[in-house]
Amino acid sequence: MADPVLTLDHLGVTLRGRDGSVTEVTADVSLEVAPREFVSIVGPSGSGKTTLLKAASGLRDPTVGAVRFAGSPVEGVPSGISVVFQEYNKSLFPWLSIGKNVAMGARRLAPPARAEHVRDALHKVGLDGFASRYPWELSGGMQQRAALARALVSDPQLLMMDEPFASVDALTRGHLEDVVADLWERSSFAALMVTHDVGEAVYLSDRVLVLSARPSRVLAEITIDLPRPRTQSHTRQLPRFVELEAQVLERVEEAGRMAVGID
Amino acid sequence: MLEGRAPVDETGAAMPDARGPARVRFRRLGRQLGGVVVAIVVWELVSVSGLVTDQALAGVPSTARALASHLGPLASAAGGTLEAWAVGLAIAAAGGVVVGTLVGRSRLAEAFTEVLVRMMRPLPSLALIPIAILVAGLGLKMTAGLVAFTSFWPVFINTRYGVHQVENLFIDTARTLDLHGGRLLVQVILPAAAPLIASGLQIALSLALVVTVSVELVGGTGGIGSFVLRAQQAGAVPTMYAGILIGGLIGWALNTGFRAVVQRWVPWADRAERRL
Repeated sequence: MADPVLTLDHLGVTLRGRDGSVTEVTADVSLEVAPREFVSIVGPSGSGKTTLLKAASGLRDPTVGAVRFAGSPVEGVPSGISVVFQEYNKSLFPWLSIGKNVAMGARRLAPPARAEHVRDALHKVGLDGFASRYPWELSGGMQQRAALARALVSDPQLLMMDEPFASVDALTRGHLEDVVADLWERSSFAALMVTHDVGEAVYLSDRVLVLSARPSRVLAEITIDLPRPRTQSHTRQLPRFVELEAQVLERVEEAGRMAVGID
Repeated sequence: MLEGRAPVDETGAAMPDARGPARVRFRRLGRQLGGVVVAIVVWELVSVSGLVTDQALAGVPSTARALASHLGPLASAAGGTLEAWAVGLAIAAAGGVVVGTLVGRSRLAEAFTEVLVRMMRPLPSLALIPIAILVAGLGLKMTAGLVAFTSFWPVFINTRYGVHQVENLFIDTARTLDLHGGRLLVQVILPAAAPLIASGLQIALSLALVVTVSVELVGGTGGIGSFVLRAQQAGAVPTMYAGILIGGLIGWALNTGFRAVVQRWVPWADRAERRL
């Protein structure tokens, strides 16, 4: 494996509530993401997937362990990492047009190049002609595509996604998955996605990690050896897909049972 | 999940103007005017019926005549009122936004000012007139000062709350986009708080007018308040009502104008939440 883009080294996160309560959300997670690799993290709800992603992106400091991006320790969000959140309506800025929202991701570029990159990014996600629209004028699926354009306009090395398709309906969801898969195949970024949808993780990923219930650790790692390019109608019918999905699901259920046991 | 409801995904252009189509707007305007007409009719009926003596209530025609014959003095009174109002409100708005932002972003400052705010806010501004006169003498400075003091609070409180409760995800997003410090404040926190700041200003604007006219009435410092007071003392009841009417019109115009400004400059105020 080439030098990893992202390394989590025995990462642990303990949250302190305002009332003084202490919750160990992430116990011990180690993982590596190779360049151009697509890795998904699945786990039962409450397994601290979002917390883990925040620590991995530099949005929050881990309590123990270390995060390295492109070989350097992470302090704050590195410029090579872009993040797409689940709630696009609280992530796209409603006071900016779609074009200006996307341009926010390209602030490092000089204005002429920026405009071109923004146009290009909007084109890639199928939002040509929507630059002057406002987020609240667009459907949820389109807003999430705009968020994706904003994340990719900076040409990141690593795209992190936190339940990126959880807030849209099933049809839009499949479509968005393919938008991401297509962009990923045509570009050179690695992807780290957190999701609770096992089928989605298998469909998109090279590797799926299953988290245990909190305090979470990596319970299983499953390599997805499905051929690419993948399509919703074809790939999801393959016996191998069904088999892999069942494998992952089994481990997630196991994690869920452990959680019930703990409670 | 609202998306599944309408086939807007690929056309996207389907969101209608928030004010609705022209026909709906026209009908609404008609109803609003209808309300005004009914109020005028009721006013005239009460006046004609003699329920209230004409020493206390002027009829519609005599008020209209008084209005027409005092246009000059009324305009200059309105100018005086608007001047004190504008100066006071400008100070309140600037102070409220700046102090509210500083306090809203700091937990220490918030705790520090909490008791003070709760004590100062309910102080009736008219009770402060004696202090204001001692400090500033009678006149514009005193009126504007009292207006500023009173209308500072809604701006301050709304701004403080607005910048305090900005969605964490906006902040996280901003951090992934490398927005920090002053940029974070100007490009994310203040726009996110703008709808609440705007409604604070809307409250302040009406309050400022009430205080301006009240101080003029009590202190006799000119403007609509003094106009009404002088008319009353002279027993010119219709003229007094003309003054009151102008005061109401000023309030209506300021509110309507401000709402238009907000719709133009803070269009996300009532729409951003729509697709939750």
